[in-house]
Amino acid sequence: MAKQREALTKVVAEFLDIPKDLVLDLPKITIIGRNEVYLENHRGIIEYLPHRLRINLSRGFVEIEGRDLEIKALMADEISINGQVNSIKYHD
Amino acid sequence: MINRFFEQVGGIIRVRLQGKNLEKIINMALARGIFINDVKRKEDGLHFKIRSSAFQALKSLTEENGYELEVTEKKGMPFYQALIKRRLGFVIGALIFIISLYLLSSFVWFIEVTGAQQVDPNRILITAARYGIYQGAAKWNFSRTEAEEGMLRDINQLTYVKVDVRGVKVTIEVVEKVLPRDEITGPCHLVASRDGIIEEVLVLDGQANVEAGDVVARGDILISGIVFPQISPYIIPDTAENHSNLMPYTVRARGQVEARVWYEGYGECSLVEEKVIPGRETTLYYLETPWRTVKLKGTSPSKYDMAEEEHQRKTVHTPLGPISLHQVIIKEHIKKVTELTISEAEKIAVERAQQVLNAKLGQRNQPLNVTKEIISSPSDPIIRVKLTAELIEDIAMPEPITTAEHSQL
Repeated sequence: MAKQREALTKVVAEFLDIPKDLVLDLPKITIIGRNEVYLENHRGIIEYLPHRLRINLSRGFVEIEGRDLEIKALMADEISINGQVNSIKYHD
Repeated sequence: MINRFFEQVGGIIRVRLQGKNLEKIINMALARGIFINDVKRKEDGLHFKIRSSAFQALKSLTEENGYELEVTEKKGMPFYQALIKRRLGFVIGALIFIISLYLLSSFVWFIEVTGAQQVDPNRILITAARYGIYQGAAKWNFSRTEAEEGMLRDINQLTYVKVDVRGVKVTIEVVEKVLPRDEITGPCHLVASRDGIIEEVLVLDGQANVEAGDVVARGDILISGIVFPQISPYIIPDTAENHSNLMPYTVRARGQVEARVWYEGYGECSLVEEKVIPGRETTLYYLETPWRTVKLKGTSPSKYDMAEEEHQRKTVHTPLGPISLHQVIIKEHIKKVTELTISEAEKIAVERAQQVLNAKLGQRNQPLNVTKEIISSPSDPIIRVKLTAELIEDIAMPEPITTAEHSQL
């Protein structure tokens, strides 16, 4: 049922040309240089260490690896990360 | 930047969180609407900043879940309260200073009028006051453009008005109209501007009514603007064509009429003259406020027989009322009686008459001669002198031809 509904919203979103991050609750990641990362539509923090940051998403999680990672701001669905970023990986 | 400002106003608290699985607390705080900033992981735990208003919520959250919360730093206005309380006088003083500076600078203290030559500056000031610009007026009570337009409307000798408000000083800059002289352009006579004896007549246009040697009174027509054509004795009179030419016509009479005229000056001098000469002088200073008058300097003398007081006020119109520095200069007058001989009195009378005569002559030609006449009888205690200056000048003055004269043609 949930899957059907998700498929329907996807079709409608595609048909109406609405940004998917709004309709489907998909994450939106903005990276500035390699020192700043903005992530919208997150679902909380799974793990935070200075060299690894795991952030929960609506589906799966994203893993940011680097050095001296810091969470500059943390809000209900927005997160801003500073530090030297080496990689950003998606996991299911 | 704006974030920093809100942090300062709302106050922020930096805390250290210790325990296992710290991410859980962060997620729970997020779910309760506690925003977290500057999260840093160190060996001794998790350091982060929260708003002071959210501290109680976070504290109860950590206590419920068995974590250790420690405040490491407090920043912002709410935490300066103690400091402000200790320095209350200073804070109030600073506030009063700022408020009074703002209040005092929002009134007009000085008004200056520039560019007025023919128009009386006081008239401009009074008109400006009607539109709300006066000493002590609040700046928000008048509109610059409204005053400018109103002043242009009310004083029609002005062609441009600019009201410039610079701080507490208002400069009213005006430009006056340059009106053309109203000259007579239509047909006119030249008439005598004063009594005299004609010396020379030069006609450029019109018909001469007088000739050298004639005595004329003021207003007599010297050169007529109504010309009666004359039949030349050298041309044989012809038919109707000449007749039509013989109709009188009007012109704008032009020419020069030099005449011998007289100007008189009168002066007198009493044989016994009372003269007042200045004596000692005392100056007093007062400070006048709407509530009371304070004497600043000087003692008022009581020993002067005759004195004159001179008052000078420098007033500053403040919103509270006028405050002025009042300067009183008391000048002693000493009466001195001098008796003059007849020749001395005559000399003084002539001098006075000469002054009157000079004022009448002004920029006119140099008089040909000046005659002196003593008109008082020898027994009079006053010597009266009349000076008569004789000179030659142009007495022609244009005067329009009246419609009555026109209709007679």
